[in-house]
Amino acid sequence: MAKPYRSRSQVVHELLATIQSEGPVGVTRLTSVVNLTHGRIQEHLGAFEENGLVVCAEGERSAWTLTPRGAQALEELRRVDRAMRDFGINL
Amino acid sequence: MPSGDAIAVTVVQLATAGAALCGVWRCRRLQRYGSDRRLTALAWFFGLFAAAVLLNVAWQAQVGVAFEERLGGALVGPGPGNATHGAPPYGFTLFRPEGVERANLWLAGHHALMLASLVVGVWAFGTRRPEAPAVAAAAGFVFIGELVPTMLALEAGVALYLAARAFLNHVAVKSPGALQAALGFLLFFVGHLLFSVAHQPGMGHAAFGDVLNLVGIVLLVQVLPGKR
Repeated sequence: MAKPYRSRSQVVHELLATIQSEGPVGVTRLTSVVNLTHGRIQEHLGAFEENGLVVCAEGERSAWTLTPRGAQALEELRRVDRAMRDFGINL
Repeated sequence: MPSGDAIAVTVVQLATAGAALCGVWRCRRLQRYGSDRRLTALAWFFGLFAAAVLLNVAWQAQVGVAFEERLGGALVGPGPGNATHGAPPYGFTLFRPEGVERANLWLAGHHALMLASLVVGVWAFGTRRPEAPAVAAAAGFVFIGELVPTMLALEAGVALYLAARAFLNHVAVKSPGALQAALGFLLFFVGHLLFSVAHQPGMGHAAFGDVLNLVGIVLLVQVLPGKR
C-alpha cells in the first residue's frame, strides 16, 4: 500500500531511525521498511555518507550504521516531530 | 518628540515582529536535513505575522499624533518641487491616510498580511478555507477603512479557531509543548480580541493586546526546538 505524502525530512527521519534500530542494515531491508525504490535509497545514503551521518562497514556496501553525528541529526528530527505534534500540524 | 507611550508600544510591536522572525529562522534551520512542509507552513505563518506587525508599526508611526510631525515626511518623502515650505504632507496618495480610520496602504497591507498569516495557520491545522485576504486591496482606502472593524473581528475569529484547535490538540497529545502551544494561541486570540473590542477609528492597537501578542508569539516560537 502506498504511504501517505512524506516530506523529505520525514523520509530522512524514517531512514535514520531504521538504520539506528536495525543497523548494520542493507539497502534491501531499507527499501521494504521505508517504502522507497532502491535508487532513491542509494541517493539518500550517498548524501548521508557525504554529510557524515552514516558509514558503511568496511568491505561491505550494504551494511550501514549510524554515526554519532547521524544520531544527533535523528534526535533533532525527533524533536521537530514532537514539536509538530505539539502544534497539531499534520500536513 | 514621540511620547513615552508611543515609544513603548512601538518597542513591544518591534519585539513581537522580532520574535516572529526568530520563529522563521528556527523553522528554516530545522529543515537543514530536508524540507518539511509543516515547518514551511509554520515559517509562513510567523513571517506573514511579522510583516503584518511591521506594517502596523509603519502605519502607527505615520498617523500617530506623537509621530506625525517627526515621521510623516520621512515616510513618504517630499513631493517634487516642494521640498521646503508649503508641501502637502503626503507625496503619494497610496500613503495618504483616508477617512475616519485613516486607512492607507500600510493599514490595508497590515490587515491583509495578518489575515493571510492566520489563514496559513488554519490551513496548517488541516482545514482549508477559501479565504482571499488580499481581495480588498484593490479597492479604495476609504472603503478599506470601513472594513477595518470587520477585519479585526475576522482576525479575532480566526485566532479563536486556532486557539480552539490548539486546545483540542493539547487534550489529545497532553504534552508540555502542546500546552505551551495552546497557551500561546490563547494569548494570541485574546490579544486580537482586545484589538477588535477596544478598536477606535484611526487609532493604533490596544497596547495590552500587543503585549499579549508578544507573549503568545514567544511561547509559540519556544515550542520549536532551539539549538543544542
